[in-house]
Amino acid sequence: MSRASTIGAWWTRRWYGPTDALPLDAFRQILTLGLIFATLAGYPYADEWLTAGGFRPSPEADPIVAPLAPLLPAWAVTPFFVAYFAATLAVLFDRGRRAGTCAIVAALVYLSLADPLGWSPAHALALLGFSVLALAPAPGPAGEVVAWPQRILQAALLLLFFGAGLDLLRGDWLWDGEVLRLRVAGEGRGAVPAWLLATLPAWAWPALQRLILFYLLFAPLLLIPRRIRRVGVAFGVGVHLALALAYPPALHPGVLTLAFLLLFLPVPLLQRLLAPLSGAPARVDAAARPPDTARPWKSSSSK
Amino acid sequence: MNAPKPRPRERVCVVLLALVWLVPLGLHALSPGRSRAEPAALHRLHDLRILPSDRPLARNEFFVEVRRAGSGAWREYDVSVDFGADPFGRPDRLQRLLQRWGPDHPEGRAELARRIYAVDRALSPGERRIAELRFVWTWSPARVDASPGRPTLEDVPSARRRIVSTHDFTEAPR
Repeated sequence: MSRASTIGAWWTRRWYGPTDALPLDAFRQILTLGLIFATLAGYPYADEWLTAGGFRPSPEADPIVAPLAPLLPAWAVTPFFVAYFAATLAVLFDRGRRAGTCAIVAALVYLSLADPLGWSPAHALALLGFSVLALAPAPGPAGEVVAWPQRILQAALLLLFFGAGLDLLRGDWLWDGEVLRLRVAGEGRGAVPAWLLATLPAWAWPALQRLILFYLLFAPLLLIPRRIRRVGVAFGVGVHLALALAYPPALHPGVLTLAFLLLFLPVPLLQRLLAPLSGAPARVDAAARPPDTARPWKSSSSK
Repeated sequence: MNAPKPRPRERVCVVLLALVWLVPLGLHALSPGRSRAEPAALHRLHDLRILPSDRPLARNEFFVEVRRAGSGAWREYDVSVDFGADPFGRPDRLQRLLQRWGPDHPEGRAELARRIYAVDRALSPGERRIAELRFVWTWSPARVDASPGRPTLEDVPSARRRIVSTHDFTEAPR
């Protein structure tokens, strides 16, 4: 077999071979919880987001942030959110998952067109995740699923991290150690950022800033090799939690990013981590599980 | 171990998702700005940057001041009734729009002023109507020990205030 065909076979196995459905299941549920959390935070202002009750410039005044889709009438906001939350619950509890996922994708696309000013990286991350889930095949009866949805999401996160790292590197993050601290002081509203600014020593801010920069730039080196993947995920979770606490605009995207990071964890470790949430004992050996055994962390069945 | 044989649908899905997400994310990593050929709506979907990359030099805040009919004094106008949303820890929409427009986009500011005038008439019919409205830009140097929260206009020294535009409603229909 030639080298090219060996690499081709490896690639095909890696992308189209079967893999455990647990990481994608955990991703779906954490992503959905993160989206519900973000939506609930914005729900009180839904009139301003989605109806003519909120100001929007005309296309003549500012074509970039003018709405590209018709706004909802005021009476339609409640039905819209009832349908939206029903879709998120359908995805979360795996009842009509495909329809629910497609409804969420449609709602997010509508939001991007109707309210460009309110669009945020959290929405974009959710749209990325749910658009992949909408196309992902259902798991088989043995709890296995084809690998490509997980690979697409992993590749997207690595590209996202690397791009963000390059962007910070092109800016002032490497040479100026005060950028993060100044950003938190200027934009980090709330009690936690104020407490962090008062508590953390001055040297900790440049250190945290460089740590974030190097993590983003070198995330592929930490997340791709199997041996250090756990370290890379733990590091990433720590970085995103620190950012979410210190810098509120990073809160919702940070929570959604945690769902993406879970996709890099080995299945047995993920099983052990999620077991307390389901109240069942952890599965030790994935290969030893009979096909019909119920999973501690509820996995999808084929429908 | 034999390589699996992917179905055509699966190959199409992978190519589609790569074109819709992976390629644009890769291009954004190399060049984060929007090219002229890329529609803004599409650029927005792939702009997942959370952290601003530059050192902030100043903290900008925008205020609205009004002068009501029969009154000579400019007063700071509370826009929180109409611009209360502060989703995802970001500044409200009025701040974001005025920050985005800067000294440009006079049509946008005119529309915004007309909106504030109309909402004021609807919510406070007993109040004397707004005769003039102006947008005021203030700035303060970025400091790590800056006091949290938004200052009031009175807190800002006059040397750090600029009037961006003034809008006259004396001829507006009552």
